[in-house]
Amino acid sequence: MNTFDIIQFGIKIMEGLACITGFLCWARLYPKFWRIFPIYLLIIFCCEFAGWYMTNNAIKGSKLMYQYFVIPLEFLFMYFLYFKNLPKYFSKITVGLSLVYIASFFAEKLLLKNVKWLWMSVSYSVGCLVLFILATIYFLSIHQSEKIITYKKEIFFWVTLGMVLFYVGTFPYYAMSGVLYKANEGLYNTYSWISIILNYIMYSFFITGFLCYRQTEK
Amino acid sequence: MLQANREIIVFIVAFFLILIAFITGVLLFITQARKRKIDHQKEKQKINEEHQMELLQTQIEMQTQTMQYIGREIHDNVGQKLTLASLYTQQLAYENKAPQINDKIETISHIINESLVELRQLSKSLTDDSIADNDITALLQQECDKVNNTKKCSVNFISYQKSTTLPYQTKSILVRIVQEFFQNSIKHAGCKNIYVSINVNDNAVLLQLKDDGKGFDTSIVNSNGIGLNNMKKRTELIGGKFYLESKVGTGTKLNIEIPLSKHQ
Repeated sequence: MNTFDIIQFGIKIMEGLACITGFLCWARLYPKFWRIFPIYLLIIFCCEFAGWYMTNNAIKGSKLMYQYFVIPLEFLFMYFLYFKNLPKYFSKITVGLSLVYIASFFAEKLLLKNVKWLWMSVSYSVGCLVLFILATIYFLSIHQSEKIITYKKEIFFWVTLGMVLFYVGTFPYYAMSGVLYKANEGLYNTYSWISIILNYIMYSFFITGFLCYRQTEK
Repeated sequence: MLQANREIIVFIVAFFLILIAFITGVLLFITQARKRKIDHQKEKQKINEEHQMELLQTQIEMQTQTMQYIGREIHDNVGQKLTLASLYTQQLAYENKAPQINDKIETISHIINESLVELRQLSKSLTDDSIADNDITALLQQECDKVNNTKKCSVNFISYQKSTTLPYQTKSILVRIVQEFFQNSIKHAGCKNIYVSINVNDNAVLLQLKDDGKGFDTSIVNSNGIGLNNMKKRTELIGGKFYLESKVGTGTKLNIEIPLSKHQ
């Protein structure tokens, strides 16, 4: 294992730490839908670990697992969090945007499978765009409300911040990794490092969210 | 391939710009949040101060009403009964039915009459609201005169009061503080002179009290002195500042500053 591999493996440890922190705060997580979050982190941790094991042991199926299960699960779970956390009058928008993502996913897998001119993933791009729109709505709504005073104690503030930084920051890397590698290997390698750093930041923010939430409950 | 490379770089730069815009937005959000938090704390403090003022006002009103009620009861009820008792004793002495106890009857009548005078004075002082009726200069002058009349020490009073009228609670608290200071200076400091000055302008009231007594170590007395704590607490209750200076052998100096905009 070289330095890059070790640091990349550290992401799994961060995921595990975020998951453990979530379970430690389990009893204090309220509203109760937040209790799904540590379970979600556990599933992601298991998938990432399985993916790492499959890649290292030349077992096929890792890419399919990410394409058909991990990435859609990540996006849909985040949309669910927005659905629960945004004010009620944004519920329809959240559901509508989630349906747009689901439609883009099926369209990509069924209709655009053999289109050659597309050099980036449509469903991933739509997923990121929807996430960015919902995050903007969240920040604007919290800015208008009294929650702005206690934003640091809001678990969702940290989750959104971590997610947006990761998904927007790594969008070019994940959306067109194949093309990027072929066109500019140097840039691809730089982006790999950026992606790792943003991964660490995202999970650190998740942990911060859990810990700050514990403080408010006291 | 070169064209694709250029497109990718443009695409990445565009996304970096979006990311920077997002981070800037978050930073602005945090700045705004801090500002809102400070405003919120200020508002909370203001509400708390207003609440304290209302409590104080209610307390003073209740105190005044109770005192007036007691004063009226003394005058109308106890006073009437004692007057009647005095008349009966005088009648007994006049009718001369028991000449052997006439002296005792006169002594009883005398005691009743003295009690009546004292009760009327007490009733008058309870029902008279001198704090409401007089300005701060007159009230402090009365207090100084009371001490000067005892001949225990000399009080020098200077007033620089403009036409500004002070709220009832400010006057009440200032009078109580001056009374407490006089009592401490005479009882504990054994002073010969007390200097009182008050300056009332549109923005604030500045009260300065000074004695030439034996002074004390503020670090020891401040923690134990109930009287000093009361003075400080009363001053802070109406948003004032309390500055006490004292050293052994050099006398005591007390400055009180009460802003008027806060409670007027």
